[in-house]
Amino acid sequence: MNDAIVATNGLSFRYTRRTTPALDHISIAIAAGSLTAIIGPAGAGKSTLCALLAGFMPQFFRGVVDGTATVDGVSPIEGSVHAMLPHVTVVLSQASTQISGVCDTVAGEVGFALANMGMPGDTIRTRVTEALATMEIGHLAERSPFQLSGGQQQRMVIAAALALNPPVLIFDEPTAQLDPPTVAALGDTLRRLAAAGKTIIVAEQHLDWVAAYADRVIVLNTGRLHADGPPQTIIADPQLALGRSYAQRLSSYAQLHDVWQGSTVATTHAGLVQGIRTDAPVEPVSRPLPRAHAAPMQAPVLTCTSVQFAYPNGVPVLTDVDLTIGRGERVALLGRNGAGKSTLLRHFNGLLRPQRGTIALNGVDIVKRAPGTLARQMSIVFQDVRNQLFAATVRTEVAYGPSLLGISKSDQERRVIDAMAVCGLTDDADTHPYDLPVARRRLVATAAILALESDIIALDEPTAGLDADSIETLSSAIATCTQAGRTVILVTHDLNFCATHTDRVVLLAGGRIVLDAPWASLNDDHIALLEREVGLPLGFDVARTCGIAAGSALHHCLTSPADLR
Amino acid sequence: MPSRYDLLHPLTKLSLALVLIVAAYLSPSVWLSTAICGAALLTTAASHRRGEIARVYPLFFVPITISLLLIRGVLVPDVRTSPIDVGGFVLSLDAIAGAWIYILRYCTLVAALFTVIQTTPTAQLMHALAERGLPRSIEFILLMALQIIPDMKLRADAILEAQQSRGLVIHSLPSRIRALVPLIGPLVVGALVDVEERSMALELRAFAATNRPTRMTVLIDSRAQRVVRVACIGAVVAMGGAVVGVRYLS
Ligand SMILES: Nc1ncnc2c1ncn2[C@@H]1O[C@H](COP(=O)(O)OP(=O)(O)OP(=O)(O)O)[C@@H](O)[C@H]1O
Ligand SMILES: [Mg+2]
Repeated sequence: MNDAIVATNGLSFRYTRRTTPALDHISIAIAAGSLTAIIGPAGAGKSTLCALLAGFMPQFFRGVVDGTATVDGVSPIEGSVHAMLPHVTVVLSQASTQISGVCDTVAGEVGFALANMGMPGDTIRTRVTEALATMEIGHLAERSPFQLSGGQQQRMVIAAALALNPPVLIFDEPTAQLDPPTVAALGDTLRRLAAAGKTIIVAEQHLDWVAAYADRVIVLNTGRLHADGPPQTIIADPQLALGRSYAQRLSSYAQLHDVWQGSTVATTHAGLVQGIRTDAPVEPVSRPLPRAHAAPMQAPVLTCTSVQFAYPNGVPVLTDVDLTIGRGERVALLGRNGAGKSTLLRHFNGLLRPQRGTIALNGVDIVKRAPGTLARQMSIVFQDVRNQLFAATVRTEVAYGPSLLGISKSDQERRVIDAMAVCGLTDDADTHPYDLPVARRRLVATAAILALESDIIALDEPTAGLDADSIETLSSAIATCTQAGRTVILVTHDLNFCATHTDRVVLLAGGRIVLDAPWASLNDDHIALLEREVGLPLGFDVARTCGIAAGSALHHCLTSPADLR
Repeated sequence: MPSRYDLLHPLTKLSLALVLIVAAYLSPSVWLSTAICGAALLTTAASHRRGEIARVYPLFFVPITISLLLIRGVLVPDVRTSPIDVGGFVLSLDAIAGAWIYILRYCTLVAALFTVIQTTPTAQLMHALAERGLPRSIEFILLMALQIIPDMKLRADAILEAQQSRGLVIHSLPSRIRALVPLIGPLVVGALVDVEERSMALELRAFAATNRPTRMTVLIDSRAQRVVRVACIGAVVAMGGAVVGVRYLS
């Protein structure tokens, strides 16, 4: 390809101290004005490729580079990152690590690179304002970058890249922490940029997003180029073992239930809408209500009454939260970036104290209890797992929590073994957590919490950055918890995942709970509200576009969560 | 809402602090020193963050005050000059007055500087200094240095939260020491990783670019503030001159 703006030839990279290469003879050419997705399982080399193309190797990630690469006519292997900035910039996968720390405000951070490059103040202000507006964080312009929610931080670092506006923009898992409306808006923004001639490269796990927005997909596997082509063929190709997108699962599911008219499996929303037979007679399935819903509130494990909370910077986050969760329930806690989900979770195990209102676990008020004393009742896998992992091996990491609970040695050991097995970590027991790919590290953090066997387990963005295999593992780990009668609270933007793993949806907006109902009994108003705030799981979305009324048998068929695995 | 004081040009605040610090250092009388220290505390009171700032003062002031009073007042009692008897201890009033001046100097220094730092975003402070010719490399070293403490604190808080949610309880000394183990690990690893990541982040924001950086914002200044600053510098010079003069003449 002559008009390739990004090209690599026999490109290899091996990290120092590793025996196998992270990138193995990659030759690709990417045309200007395209949106290319890079997909592949954990450890495939996606992040390495992103960082390398932006000039990080070998200066920041030490190792051996072989072969050549050019980006906008310049070699990122020879040039430093800042010398590459007029040509290319990258948003790395963990937003919290990309805060320069020397700017007091979000606006300052977003414009920092422009100022350092000597751009006139007026231009910077215009670009920053635009970038903030695109990422819908104009209202946070004067906030400290450290006082943001996970998703707000991610929006900020994306805005910083947009403000730079080089011809090539690379994003490593940009959607991991974003709420669905922002994910869709980012897709539209990137498409618009590509149409205007920018070259966009996105490493992404969400096949549905890739199918909807990318015009080319490159599949990496253990450092090699595994496949390359348009998204429809690549994603639909069972040989590639990519795991199936939710669109594919839903269409096969529809086929199975005879409500499908197409012959092929759909990979996009549009394909689904075409394929669903809205006139098909559907046997009303009498679905047994999930166990917990039969008698939800008789034994509430968690009760919040009129909880109110503001951070010291004065921003009110929770204004009046009332919530009761019963034993063994599986609850999805949803809301936009910055709605206060993570903040609310921290109240449940006493890490934060409400300014007003009460919180009770198993009927006992916990507002005055010391944090740490509640681990048997409730524990959290945090959004940012960096701060949790400290041990030299996976085994000691997982064993740490149980060792604090004052239980017998043999019981401790059993819990550690169980938790590692459930999270697929048995073979990695003696590995250093930081030697594992990021996705697996998240599973280590999850195992460490599961080993506590708390009554309630809350997972904050558990699927962020996980590949299909790890999500599968997480899935079964959650199932194990439910079988053991534990309560699971999922805070997530991954609506398809939470619709298949929870029975009840709780929506947080404006500091209070605006919707609280079982997925199975959402009416049209609920669905509209959910769509406005955080979007809809695919089944609901397709049903809505097809005009299938909530409550009908067909609607049930498309939205019934459990079978969509 | 930031107060009028908070919104002053960083150099104006720095000049005011400088006058107070120099004056406290040179002041010969207990009463004058007390007044100067009071003035430094007034700058704190003029900020809208006065509560937050004042909350850490006991941490700075109490241990120093007690130890200085003890050292100067009890351990080195000059019993011939106005001794007083406090429950078996013989204290010297003059020695206490002498210690009091040291304490006031120290308090003035801490209050004046801490208030400036707490009410001035570091980036603004550096911006102001850079406008007066502070080299870029030093600007960034200062920025990073000023950032280390808040960074470590943020990290330590996050780590503590993560471990508490796994059952770590901190209530007694032994538990605190035991708690250190899981805390120090991620804190040290985190700090090392942070430095690495921070330098990557800075690189990604063109910090190493060689051209002169521009600024997004303009610092608000005024004629009156410039006058105040000149007056402050003048006052510092005059005080210095007066002291030298007195020494030289006597
Ligand atoms: N340490 C902090 N200091 C001040 N404000 C904060 C802090 N952390 C979060 N906030 C603010 O509190 C609000 C709620 O944040 P929270 O992290 O609970 O959101 P969230 O719903 O978890 O969002 P996300 O989906 O992005 O993770 C946001 O407006 C955020 O800017
Ligand atoms: Mg959050």
